[in-house]
Amino acid sequence: MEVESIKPLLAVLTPLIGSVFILMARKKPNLREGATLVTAFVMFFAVVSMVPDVLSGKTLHYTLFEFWPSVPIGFRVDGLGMVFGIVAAVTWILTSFYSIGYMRSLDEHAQTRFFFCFAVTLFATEGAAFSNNWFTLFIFYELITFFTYPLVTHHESHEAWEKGNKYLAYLLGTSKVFLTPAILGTYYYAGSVDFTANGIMPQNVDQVMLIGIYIFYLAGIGKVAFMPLHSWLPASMIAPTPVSALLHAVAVVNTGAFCVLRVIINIFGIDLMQQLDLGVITAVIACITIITASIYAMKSNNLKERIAYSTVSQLSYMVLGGALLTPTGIRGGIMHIAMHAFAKITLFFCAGSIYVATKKTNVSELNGIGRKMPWTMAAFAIATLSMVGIPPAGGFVSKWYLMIGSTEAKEFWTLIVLATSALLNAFYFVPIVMNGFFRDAQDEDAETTLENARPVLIPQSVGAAASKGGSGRALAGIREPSLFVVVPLCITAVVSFVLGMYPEFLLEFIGVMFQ
Amino acid sequence: MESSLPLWAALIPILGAFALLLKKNSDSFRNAIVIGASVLPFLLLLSLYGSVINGGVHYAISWLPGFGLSFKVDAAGLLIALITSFLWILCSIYSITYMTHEDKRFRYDFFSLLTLASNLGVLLAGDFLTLFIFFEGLLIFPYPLIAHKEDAPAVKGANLYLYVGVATSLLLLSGMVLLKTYTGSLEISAIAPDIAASMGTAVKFQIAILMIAGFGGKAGLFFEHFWLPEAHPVAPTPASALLSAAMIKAGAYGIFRVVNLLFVPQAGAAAEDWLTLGNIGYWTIIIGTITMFFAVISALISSNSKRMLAFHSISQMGYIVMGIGCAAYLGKDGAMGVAGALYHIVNHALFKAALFLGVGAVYFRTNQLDMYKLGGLMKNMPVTAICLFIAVCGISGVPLFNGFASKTILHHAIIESYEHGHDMTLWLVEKIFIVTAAGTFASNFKMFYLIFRGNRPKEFEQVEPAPLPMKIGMVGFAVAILFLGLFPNWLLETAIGPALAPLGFDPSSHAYQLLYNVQTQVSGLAILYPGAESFSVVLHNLFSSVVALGLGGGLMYGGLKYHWFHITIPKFATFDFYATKMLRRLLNPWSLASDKRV
Repeated sequence: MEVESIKPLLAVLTPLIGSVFILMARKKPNLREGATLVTAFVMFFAVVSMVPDVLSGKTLHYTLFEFWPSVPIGFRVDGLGMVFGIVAAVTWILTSFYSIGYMRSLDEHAQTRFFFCFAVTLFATEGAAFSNNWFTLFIFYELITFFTYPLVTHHESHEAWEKGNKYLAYLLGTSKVFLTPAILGTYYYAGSVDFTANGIMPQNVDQVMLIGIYIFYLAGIGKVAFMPLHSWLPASMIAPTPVSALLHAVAVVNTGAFCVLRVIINIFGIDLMQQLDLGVITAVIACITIITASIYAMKSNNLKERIAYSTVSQLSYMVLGGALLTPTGIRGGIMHIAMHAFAKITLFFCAGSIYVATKKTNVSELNGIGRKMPWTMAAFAIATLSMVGIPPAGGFVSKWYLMIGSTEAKEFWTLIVLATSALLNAFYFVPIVMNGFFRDAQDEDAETTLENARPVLIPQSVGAAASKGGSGRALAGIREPSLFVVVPLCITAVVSFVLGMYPEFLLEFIGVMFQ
Repeated sequence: MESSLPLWAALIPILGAFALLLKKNSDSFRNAIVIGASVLPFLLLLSLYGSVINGGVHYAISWLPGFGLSFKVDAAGLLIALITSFLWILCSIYSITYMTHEDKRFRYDFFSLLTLASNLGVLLAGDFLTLFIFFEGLLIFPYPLIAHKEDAPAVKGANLYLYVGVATSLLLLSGMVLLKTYTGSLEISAIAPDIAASMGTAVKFQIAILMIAGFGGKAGLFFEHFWLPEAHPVAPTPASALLSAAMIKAGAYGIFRVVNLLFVPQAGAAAEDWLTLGNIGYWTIIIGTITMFFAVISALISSNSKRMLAFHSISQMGYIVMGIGCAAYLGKDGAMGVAGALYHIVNHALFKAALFLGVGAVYFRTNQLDMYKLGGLMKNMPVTAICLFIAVCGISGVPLFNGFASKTILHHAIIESYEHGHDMTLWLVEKIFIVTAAGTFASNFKMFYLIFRGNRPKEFEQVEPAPLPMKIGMVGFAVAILFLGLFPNWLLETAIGPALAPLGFDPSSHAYQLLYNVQTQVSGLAILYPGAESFSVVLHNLFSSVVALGLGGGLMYGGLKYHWFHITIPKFATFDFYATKMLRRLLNPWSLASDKRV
């Protein structure tokens, strides 16, 4: 049932208005951060106010104006958008608190710009979540790219500029070269670019063109970080950790997965996808990305980079869910947006927390960290459970649905890929936790290294060896950073666990999509 | 009957674990909680006995965690759950003093209780998803127990354990996904034959292989065993005992459920379904036999006594899995195999725990695990020696001790299987069975001899006897071993008989009849009873045992005299070598440079 409502507009505009207040309060840091927090809460309530309507099976609509014949700029809230919107809203609140702790602990410069861009990015993210057609979505998609650029290049160092340019080049390049033609093609064949429940693409046109448009979509949505168009994501890890946490674990990347799901479900429709065998093509690309990115993750020693590669891998889980074209698979894919978001943001929060407390960024330097920072590493452990998919943590539920979906679709090889990927996840996340709790901090005496090198699975590392003489003092005096940092990461960890215990909440949103 | 007691049995240890947080540093408080939280589930489960015999207990909660949890207890599950919590009680008592030598006792107790909860959950689960949730708990919670010492071997063992566990649990998960897709259900009951013939038997084999391999990781089946001798011995002794005697059974239990329940055809099923079951059974026998044989070889050449016992755990799991396979191979006539497997699960739990605790007591006083460096401790530690002797007799299958009964039944099962199809490999399996029993006898008596007899090294002259709580633990197990050894029929009548009832065996089958015949004779004492009906069966059983023990005695004598036990297998021939190497490469590729530097 379609209902006209202004609520989506309010939810989207709140962070935009909030960003103005943030600019106005630039001279008073406390007031400025107050504005961020108030905005985050208001937006959260605006989004939540739409929950009862959506759950009762309604689709909320609001059209601003007609930009072009049958191409309006407007909003439409359905189950998929709602899952994404809520996840972004909840995580923004937590990230706001976390950013305050993080930015102030490190005494970062240009904090007003940081919080302003953050708010505008959230505006664009919510806009993307609630867009009613590809044109509106495209505008918000590009806005996200532009307003995250200052955040990525926040440090203003040479490296930051270089990586920021890479970021811009990949995201803008793909969207200009591939996404724009794909949207125009869609408009040409379907006469509109609206999202409808069963897709808008006509079945009676040239199949080659349809497949071409689809491939252009996949290539154009750079934010989903398909291999080989993924390297902007690890590059963007140069940004401060809250940016990596909210934007490159939740908002930006989920926008990518969200767009692909929109294309699969609402533009092409499941029937047409099946008819053209596009599901298999997507699944192959997604699976290659899943495995390759996991291997990259195993190879990277930088903690944030490792988490970023894990994100590349996990994004393809969501796409894979859609590509399986079975209700269970799509459920799994959409659920994974939420499950992954909370687990991944926890991991990033933890990485940031470790950085604030110790200035360490390498995995190999983190032995024994759990004894000094038990809360951070406990949260990291819970998030790891979710990433590996160990019940009852959240990641298990979505993985379970994805796996069932893949057997239902008779694509058994995707089952193998999912299982392998979970194992690889364990390989690159679990050692961090276990070494953090059960290994001594690097005692870099030559004889210990020699002694441990053979029988130990986790021998001393290059980075640690370089800081020779740290023996035991490596972590002396380290303790948990401020509560602003620790509390949010504990909350996200708990949420990621609770979501696994009560996935019904998410399932209901997805359920209304298929009514 | 519907009852929430199974849920509570799994929940109480969890609650107990969190109750430990109240007074983290009080030893007496923690001991009381740990023992209380192990005794209560035992009593709860015991109180379920009546209703389980009369048709089973089930319970379901739908609101947690998303899918809902369901519990279903039948006699087999209850039996293993009871023996598990019994082990936990005695090992907790034992650990009161043993753990005074270790620090981080809170962490140990906390995770020990969580492990108990997961273990009970696995055994009481009513569907595979519930089972899987607890199975993953059983993957994570023992990690701190194994890595307790936090030194290099402990962390290595724990890591191997964890990664093998994750990998195999993913196999299990894949099997479950296939099962769910094809049958629409994950209930632990005979649902696999419902997979339509149109899907082909290939699917059934895929499910069986994935699930057996999935559970086999925990059970230490061949190819998946290499973590076990690294992980079990490095834990503190009570934890080693629990891992090796109780937790490993969760894997055997899973295989038992898959092979002996999931794939058992219903009445009136097509012959093809029975054939599938038979094939699954056949390969299970083969895997079990390989496991039991090679592990006993490894045990013979181990000098670390805990490591040796870990190899024996693998070997004894081979016996159990072979029994499970025999039951499936024999189809409707498989009662003997299941009975032997279940019986051996119980017996192995008892004697393996007793062995570990005994060796642990020696270690506690001497700080020495290498059996070749010990000797003559009989005078110092008489109670430990006697308990260990009883356990050694138990594991070796000496008549009048518990292992004799179950090994005899298993032996009958494999003979049955051979006569069923006259497959020559099964004839060979029967011979390997005897040889393995001989090897078990040789290595265990060798250990006993080296520790307690012979010359006592000077530094051990002042060794004191084991402290009281440790004695209580050991004597408890020794008494249980003797009791089951002298009255083997008690367990067959009270628990194993009822466990066989719902499994769809043909009560008029030869095996079933023979089982009840054998029942009266397995004790070995039957030879003294007047009116023993089939005297020849008794003699036959004793004869097999005597052959095995004789061979074992010869092996032990020769081995000690000519130093056969000091053979070392070259590194490249061990699984551990490759697994460790592979994991090292996988887990930290960036460390290669530092390796070169070293």
